[in-house]
Amino acid sequence: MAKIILGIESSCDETAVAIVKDEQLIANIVSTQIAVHTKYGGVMPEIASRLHAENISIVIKEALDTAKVKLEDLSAIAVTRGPGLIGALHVGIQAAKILSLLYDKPLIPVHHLAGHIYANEFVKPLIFPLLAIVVSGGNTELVIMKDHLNFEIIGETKDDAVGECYDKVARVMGLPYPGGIPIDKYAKEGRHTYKLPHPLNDKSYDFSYSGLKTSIINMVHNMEQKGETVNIPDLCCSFQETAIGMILDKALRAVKEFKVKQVVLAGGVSANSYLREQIQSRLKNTNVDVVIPPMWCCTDNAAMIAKLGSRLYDEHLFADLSISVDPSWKIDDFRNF
Amino acid sequence: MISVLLDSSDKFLAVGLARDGKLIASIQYEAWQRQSERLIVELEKILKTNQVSRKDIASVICGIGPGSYTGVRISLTIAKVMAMALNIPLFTVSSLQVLKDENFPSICVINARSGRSYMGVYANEKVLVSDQIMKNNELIAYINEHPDYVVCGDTNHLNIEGKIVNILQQMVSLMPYLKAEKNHLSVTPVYMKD
Repeated sequence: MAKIILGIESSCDETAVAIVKDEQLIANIVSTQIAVHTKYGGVMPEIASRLHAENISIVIKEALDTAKVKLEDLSAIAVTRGPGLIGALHVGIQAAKILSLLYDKPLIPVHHLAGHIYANEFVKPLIFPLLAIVVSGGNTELVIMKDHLNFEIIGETKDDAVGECYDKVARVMGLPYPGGIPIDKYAKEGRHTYKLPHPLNDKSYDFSYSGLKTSIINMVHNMEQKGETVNIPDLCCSFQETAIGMILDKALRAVKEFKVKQVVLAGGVSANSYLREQIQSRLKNTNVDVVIPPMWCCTDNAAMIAKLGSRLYDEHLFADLSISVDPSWKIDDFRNF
Repeated sequence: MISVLLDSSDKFLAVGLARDGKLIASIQYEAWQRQSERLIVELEKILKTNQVSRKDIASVICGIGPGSYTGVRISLTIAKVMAMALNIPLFTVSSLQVLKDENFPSICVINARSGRSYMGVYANEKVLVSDQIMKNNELIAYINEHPDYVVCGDTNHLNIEGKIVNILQQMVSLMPYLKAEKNHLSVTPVYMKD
């Protein structure tokens, strides 16, 4: 019998449902809310939750229709349990739980960031030891995997996430949300001329972005007060090389220390062109394999939830119907729910 | 044929089953901020106890708000996904109206926080005052002006003891007056606040 996993993702600003049949992706529906949140310059949690509730059954139906799969045929339902926005997560988990109850299917709680890491399996098999550079609007962490489903966080942000920092910096420069896209674009036209702080430039694998953010906000405000014009391309380039540079430096050090055989990118900021180019060029002519996820995997989606759900199904990692969401679920705790 | 009844828009969690317009099973208790864990568990319990399988379920009836945003979304998400999956009609009802007393005109109240309340006035299926959000002091004045009306719902925030009814019994009594949602896929809660 075929193994068919339906995945549901609603942790932030995408309502997504996907179906994986015997490891093949047969439906991948994403209803994005980005256009709505752009108006506010960031994700508004209550609005995100409202849109999830509005769209969830439409997106599930579309996935089933696309895959020509009946709910009866499913092997299990996988759903993002965290981390993410609490109200947004609630919608996905209720949808998953009612389907699990009505059709008597196992319920598989999936860690959102583990999902992003496993999205790379759509490109090629994972090789261990592996370093996952997990970078998004909500998270910045370096994760070592010695084997499948074995996650060790070696470093993480002490304050803001890198993607959040991009959004705030874009905002002060008058660039639209999400900030990663315009900053990445302007950075290519600019030069690294602004001197910016390089916080937590130390032996740890941790990151800090709030100081960098504040220094840019203060710098832009000071220049505006003095009537000076900010060179947007140069500031974008300076910021991008600093913000991503911190990640590259620490990631490359981790590659050596942990004798890593493969590096994978995961999360929204893995769409950043500077990060993608630099990680590849800096590991060129080494034995380290670099996996760059396709652009559709960088944004939130349910394909990765169904994909990882399929592996967790083999492990019988099933939850009972009393589970709820965990907005700050840690990746190394993914078996506990 | 069975109707599944749900509401979790306020402090309460209510799950019931109706057969041929009669309430055959009901669970109702205070579950403030625990509806996410409990609602499906109670639904599972009530379906099992009454030996109802998914093929027996002919419709789903759900409170649509106003109330706690997350609370309303929990029951309405369940109801919507259920209607989609089983291809059955979804009926929605005001989460205030189901708080009504069946014998007297009722001022139905849910705490909207920040010094305000959601309120609506009902005489069974008749709407005397449609659902709205009101400052607590104005609502208290309204209540004082209408001594012949029963105050229903959890009104501790007004320092008034409201009457707590069986929500599901009221939902069943309103069933003949409810219309199925034309497009249940895109139904959204009634929030009354942006």
